[in-house]
Amino acid sequence: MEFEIDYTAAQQSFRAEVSAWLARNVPDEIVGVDEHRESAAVYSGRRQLGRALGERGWLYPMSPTRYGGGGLDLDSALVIVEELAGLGLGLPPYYDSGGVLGSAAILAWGTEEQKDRLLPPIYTGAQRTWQLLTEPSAGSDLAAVAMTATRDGDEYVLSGQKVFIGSGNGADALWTIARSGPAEDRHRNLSWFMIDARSAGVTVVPQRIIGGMDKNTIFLDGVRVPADNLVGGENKGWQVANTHLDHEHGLRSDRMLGRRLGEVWDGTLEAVRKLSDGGGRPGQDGLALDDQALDVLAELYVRKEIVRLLGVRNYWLTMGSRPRTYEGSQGYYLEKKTSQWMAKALMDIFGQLALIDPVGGLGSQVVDQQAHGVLSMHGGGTGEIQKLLIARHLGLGGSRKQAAQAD
Amino acid sequence: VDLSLTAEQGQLLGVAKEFARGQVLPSLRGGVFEVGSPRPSEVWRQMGDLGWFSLAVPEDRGGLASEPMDTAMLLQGLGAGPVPGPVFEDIVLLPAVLASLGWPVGPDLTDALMAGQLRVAVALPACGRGPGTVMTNTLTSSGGQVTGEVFPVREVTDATHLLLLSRRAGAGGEHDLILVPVGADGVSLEPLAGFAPGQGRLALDGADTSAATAVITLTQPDLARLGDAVLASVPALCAFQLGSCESVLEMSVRYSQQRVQFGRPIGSFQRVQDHVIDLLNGVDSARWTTYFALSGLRPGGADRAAIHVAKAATSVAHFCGCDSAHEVHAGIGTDVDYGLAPHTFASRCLYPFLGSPSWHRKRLIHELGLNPRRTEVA
Repeated sequence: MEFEIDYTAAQQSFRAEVSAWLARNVPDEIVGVDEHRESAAVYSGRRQLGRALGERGWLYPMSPTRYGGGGLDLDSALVIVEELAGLGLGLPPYYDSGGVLGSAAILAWGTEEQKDRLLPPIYTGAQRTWQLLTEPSAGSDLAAVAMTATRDGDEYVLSGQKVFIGSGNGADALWTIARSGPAEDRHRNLSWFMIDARSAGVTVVPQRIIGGMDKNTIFLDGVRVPADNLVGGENKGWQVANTHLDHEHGLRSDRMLGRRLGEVWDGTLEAVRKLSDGGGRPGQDGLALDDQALDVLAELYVRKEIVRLLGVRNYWLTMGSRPRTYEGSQGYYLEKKTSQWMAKALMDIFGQLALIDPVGGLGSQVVDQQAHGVLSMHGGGTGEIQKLLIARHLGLGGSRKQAAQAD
Repeated sequence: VDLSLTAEQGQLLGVAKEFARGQVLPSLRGGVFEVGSPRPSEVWRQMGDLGWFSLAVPEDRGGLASEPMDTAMLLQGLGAGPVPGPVFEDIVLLPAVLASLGWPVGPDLTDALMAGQLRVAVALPACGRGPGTVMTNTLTSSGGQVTGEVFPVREVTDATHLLLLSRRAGAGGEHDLILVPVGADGVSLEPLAGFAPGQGRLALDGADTSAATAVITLTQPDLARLGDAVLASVPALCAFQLGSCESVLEMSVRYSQQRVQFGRPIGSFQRVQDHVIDLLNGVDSARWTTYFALSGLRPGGADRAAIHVAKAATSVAHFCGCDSAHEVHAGIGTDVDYGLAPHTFASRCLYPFLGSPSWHRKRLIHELGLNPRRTEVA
């Protein structure tokens, strides 16, 4: 049994190529800033980097070359993800939820004409796309969305409200689910649209979120969308949603390998060493970690490892096209709960310092965990929904039809 | 056994809760809980007019000398907001510190404190058997000047005054307890970003004690009395946390009843019920450990084990209760204008304040006489 990703000589060579290219093309000023708190200048720099990555097929490295993707295998894509992560950047290097998740759905459900038209702007970095799912009355119950889409000639007219959307600095396109059929036809009344964010009737209002994260409420008021931008067929949006949500619930390569919690551990270890040595700003006498703090520190490592290894398991299943049932939701759920637990664990280790910005001596990975620990429990679907999906895969509760749909 | 509140205690709790929820919070934007946001001074003046800063002041100094349980009811009510600012510090901790030292300040300053004219941030290191309010305190007095750093100080960014403890240079172990205006020469305040609104770091660079509002010289026995007074004030802090926990529970129950998903109130789902029940268990754990610790506060002594139990249980209940509430509320709970986020910030800030649960558990073991050598703490 081998738990390490086994890179071939060609992939090692590819890593060197990627590393050298990034060294030449990533300006210092765009690294190390949370994508939900970036300035306009940082965002602009990241979009520029995205276009440069897109030219090489590295922005969406596993996507088909025909549509502007890289056509690479997962290992090669991970090389790019890892090298960017080493610089404090994600892939794409800007918040592109509708691009990452919408493109997967378009690949599965779009017509050839739609793939040719809608995918290249995403894959090449010409377009930044936000996903529009959650509404004030439709969170976990996504099928209850109330935003309406009404056919009018060659267009659909969309009206309604979406919340907890995107980041700062705007988007070019909006990947949106809306109700196109009668309210009572649950699961058979939904449709997906790719909307030009500059369309008349689109209003973006910033929301103030715990931890200072940039999110928005978006109002669509009679927004006219070409019927050609309906993806997956009218009232067949629930099938499209399942593809979309499957990716969100655990199949993303970065999430699969548990990178974020690993970064929290790295930041924690760095802070412990710095403060214990008296090298941290407040630790002039050194931070003394007693037995209890050391026990929590060890538990933090144990839990981080569990999430990481389940991610490796999911990666192995995906790479080998092996059967999967509950694994994506399980990995996602445990990542959420571990993230929540870590916030308190860091308080137990560092005390008041865990609440203070890096100027206090701890890295941002440690301090930001207080916000992440709260936000992680609902982003991309609540923990309860993940448990529901796991239970259905185990044949517990719900109908057989639901279990089949969960597959 | 009689666990009921007196009519007066119930009335004070109700008035304070109404003040916190009905008057203070609607006048504040949610952003008041964000880093660097100012807190209106008007709230302090209103509380002064209501006599709340007088509750813990001795009668011979013009105060009301209320019983600890009575004062705790006020704190519990204010925690329901939670009212921002150094509420606990100025109503309970500062009077407790001064009382332990024989109230060594004059009537003018006392009257100003009781009127809510001063908003005092308290920055004390652990001393004697008492927990500290800060992690680092390197202040040293020499020749009437104070130099050093205090870090991190809670609710300091809109304070008018600071209560500091500075060690006197040289032998003897004497300290100076200093009340100094925030803008005094040689005193600099750096607001700190992060997850604790209102926090900051103080740096004193040769600050002249002649500019201080009060300077009180402390001997080693004074320090021990100070530590005991700080420890005895902890149950009132727990009461503030309890009030916050109760609000979080009420919000979660109400939201579970009103929020409809999948065609039914989310409170009908067992997984949501589990979160609410966990929260309820935390609230009641906090309530009865806090009340028990308050009942053990006696002139000249306290049930220290009960205090340690209360702070350990209440801080965990507050922290984890907010986690449960966020699971019930999901996205809307993270919107700072909704009303849950201020409680979440408070649960994090107060978790280590005046001793983390870990610190209190260790002191509890010590109080129980178990393996005291290995559990001795600084």
